[in-house]
Amino acid sequence: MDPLLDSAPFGFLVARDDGHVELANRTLGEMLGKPLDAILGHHLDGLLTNPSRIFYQTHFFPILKLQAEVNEVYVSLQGANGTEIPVLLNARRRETADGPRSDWAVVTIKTRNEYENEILKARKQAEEAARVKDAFLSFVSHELRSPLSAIMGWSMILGRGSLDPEKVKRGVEVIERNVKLQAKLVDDIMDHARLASGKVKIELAPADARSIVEGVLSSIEPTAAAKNVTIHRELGTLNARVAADSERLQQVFWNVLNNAVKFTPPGGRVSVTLRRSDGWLDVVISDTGKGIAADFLPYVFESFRQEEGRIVRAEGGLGLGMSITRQLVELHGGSVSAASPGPNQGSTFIVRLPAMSANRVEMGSG
Amino acid sequence: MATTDASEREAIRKRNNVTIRGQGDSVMLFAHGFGCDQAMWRFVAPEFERDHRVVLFDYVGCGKSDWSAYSPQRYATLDGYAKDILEIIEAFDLRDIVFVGHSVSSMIGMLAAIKAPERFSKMVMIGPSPCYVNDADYVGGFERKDIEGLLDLMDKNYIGWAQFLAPVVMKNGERPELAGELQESFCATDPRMTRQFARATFLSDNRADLPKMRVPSLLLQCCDDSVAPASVGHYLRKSLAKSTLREMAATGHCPHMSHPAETVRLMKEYLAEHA
Repeated sequence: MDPLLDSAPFGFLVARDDGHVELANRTLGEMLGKPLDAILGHHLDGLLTNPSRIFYQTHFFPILKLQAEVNEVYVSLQGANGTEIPVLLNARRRETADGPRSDWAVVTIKTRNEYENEILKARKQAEEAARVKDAFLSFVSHELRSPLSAIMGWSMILGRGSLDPEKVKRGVEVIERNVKLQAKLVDDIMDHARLASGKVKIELAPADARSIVEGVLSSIEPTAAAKNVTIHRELGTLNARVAADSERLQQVFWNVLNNAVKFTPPGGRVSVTLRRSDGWLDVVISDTGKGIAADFLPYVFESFRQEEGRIVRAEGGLGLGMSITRQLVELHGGSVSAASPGPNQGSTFIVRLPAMSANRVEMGSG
Repeated sequence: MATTDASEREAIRKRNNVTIRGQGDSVMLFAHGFGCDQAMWRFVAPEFERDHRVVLFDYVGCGKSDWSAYSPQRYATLDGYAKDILEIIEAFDLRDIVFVGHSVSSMIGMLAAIKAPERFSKMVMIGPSPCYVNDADYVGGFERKDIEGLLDLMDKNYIGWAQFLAPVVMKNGERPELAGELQESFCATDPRMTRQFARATFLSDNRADLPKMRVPSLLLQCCDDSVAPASVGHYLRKSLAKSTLREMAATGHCPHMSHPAETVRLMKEYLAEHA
């Protein structure tokens, strides 16, 4: 071989139609970390990873045969010790007295490959985000329509007049309940939009987390009792002072506790515990409810997500609550986490806030 | 009735880019494999035109088929592709068919032959595999992660594979009247469709369908096929009633392209022996 080609800054090989390598330059051997003896006379398949082998047989070879030229094809070579070497290939086919041959130029693309991996990953994420958003939009419009139908139906009935007072009372109740429901949906959407654009400002002031939790519990207990879900309080006597926007913190606890009650079947239990660790105040909310599948856990606090369509349908809500909760807690300098052993095995949410001792805010270390 | 038949036939012809050449009472229907189109038969099919009506086509989403007819639901599994074949057979009233399928088309053809055995006289399966992924004692040759790797590899090539793919997609999508100018482009495929075809192909498992097959078959197995290894050929020989396995001197996965003479010879021998 021409010494110039032998040491050219690209791998070079000549293959027969049956895929056997007839000629290879030194650079290719170095690229693969293999002696030329291990390449020459062997089948091209041996140089390729499994996926690349399929691609070669199903795409590359037929096109090279039909078109006599293939450019910029990405494959992975199988290097020594099982390493994978991403490369770009250009190949040309030519006829010789001894049958057709193909000449291949091989260039490694390690850095560029990592960059392209990032592009593909970003594209997949963007596609997924668009898909989730579309699904959310159609879901949200459906959810907003349901209370409207009830309001509209009863307005028409009431508008006809001549109803007995009992029926009027019932109609007004239904309208009121659905207006409240819709107001909550709209609030959630607005909260979410304002949080997303960084427009929510919170006013931190010393507050007692225990009394905020107790306030939320007293508003949720009737719902829990009606559903036969027991609420167990372990609020203790420890110092539960935090720097907080009381109204927002109330919203946080309400979201988490309301979910716990919502997803716990009759006869179940929700427990609330306060504890302190390393300058943090943890509000731990556990339930014996539906639990969370392991593959959904990472997405619990993302927008527009509810686990599986069936829960969306069964329990209502927009799937924004947990995302709003996380953002509000983070605005307080805290964090929120979720854990569950699996479906139907209950779940535990921990709202972690920087605790206050005496008159100053301790910034937690972990 | 006659006009409906003609317009239906025309619709199917357009959808699957059906081309018919040659003469004779019996029909040879060639079905291309994953990754290419009917152009892959050009070294083999003409050899049969003297004695057969040779029917070629492209699956929807491949070659010069009508890409707008693509349906993700229909083509999610090999059954959708088998339906294409059955509809071509129906539209052109094909009978006494020698079906020649490459790679995945062997299984697609088998699914069609199970549904309408009366239309088929023989099957020629080139590099067939009923299941590409290893499963307990069954050696398909690949692990699931290899197939995922193939999908990634295809994605990568669709970033920069402008030479074959991007221009074709653009021209076909926006100016279908330019289809005639695409003569020089072979094996053109829409990336999204090909991705789904790859899944349908390499994640399919048709082992349970093999005993339902009644049409006699010739299995052409290359001696060094890295996509459908020799063990798969033997598995098929044992599982398919009335099957004949011929191990070829040819290597690779596309003997009809790399070793057309041997492929034609073995096919003609089989057809003569089973006339």
